[in-house]
Amino acid sequence: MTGPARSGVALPSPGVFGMWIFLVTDAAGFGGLLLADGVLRARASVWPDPHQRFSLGVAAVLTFALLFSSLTISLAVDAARRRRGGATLFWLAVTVSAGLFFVGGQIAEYQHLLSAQVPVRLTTDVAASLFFVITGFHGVHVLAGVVYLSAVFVAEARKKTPSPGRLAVAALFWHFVDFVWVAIFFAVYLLPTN
Amino acid sequence: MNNPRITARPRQPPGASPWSSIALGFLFLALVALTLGEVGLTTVAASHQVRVTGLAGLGMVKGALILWFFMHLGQQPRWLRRAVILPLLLTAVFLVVLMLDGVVRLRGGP
Repeated sequence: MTGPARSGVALPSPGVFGMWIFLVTDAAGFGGLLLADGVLRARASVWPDPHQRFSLGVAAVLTFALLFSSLTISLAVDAARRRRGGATLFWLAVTVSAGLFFVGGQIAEYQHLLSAQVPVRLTTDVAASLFFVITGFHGVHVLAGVVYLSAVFVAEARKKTPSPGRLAVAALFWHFVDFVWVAIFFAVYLLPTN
Repeated sequence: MNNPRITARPRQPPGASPWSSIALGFLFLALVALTLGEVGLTTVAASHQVRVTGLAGLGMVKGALILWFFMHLGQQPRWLRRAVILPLLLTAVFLVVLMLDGVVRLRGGP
């Protein structure tokens, strides 16, 4: 490890730094979508009540699943730092399972909306379009995170000693997915209409 | 010769977490409690402004907890913290300004 340089600029590890740069640019995409949602909602004379259209209970359960997965990925990183390979793999597997649960729940919610008595489709209205685009964009991120963490799981399973640095970078991406969901949960599911 | 200005100076080993498993558990419980608070607030018979303000406040606290403790933003260098927080704040400011503009236009204001 490089020793401390008194006049130096503190730098995170290259992986963490690269991931932060990616996340800031990725957040701009989500920010644009949420801005569009806010502006269109404010300018619309009529906006459907999200509490009548969507199931807040299902969304809350999905939120708990993502929050739980943030805890488990942190425990995986902690276990890797302590060189506990078995625990690292266990918590990674739990995180991937929670991610799959979230994706499955979202697919079930889409199916419920599409097959309702008054179906809600991508072209139903602006609110429905934004709902599917925003949650779909986030869902793709969750799916990408599941694939990413699965690849890390396989790589860790082949090694004798865990690599906390690599896991920390993957965990950063996973926490970001959770962070964005907090904003989506507020904007799409919770924000009441006038 | 290495330039001392760009010498890596990690504060801790890669992947190191300053939080114990118990602290992480409490953080998770706090996030769950805040989420339950959000869901509960939607059922409270309060004015629209109170509910929106409350929900926004709870959401921001949740986001800040995830950023600071789960994503360890607090352990990152100051310049990186600013590079992350500034765009987030700007997005929030843009959102508020554009939504207010939309409301004013809808009501036939100036």
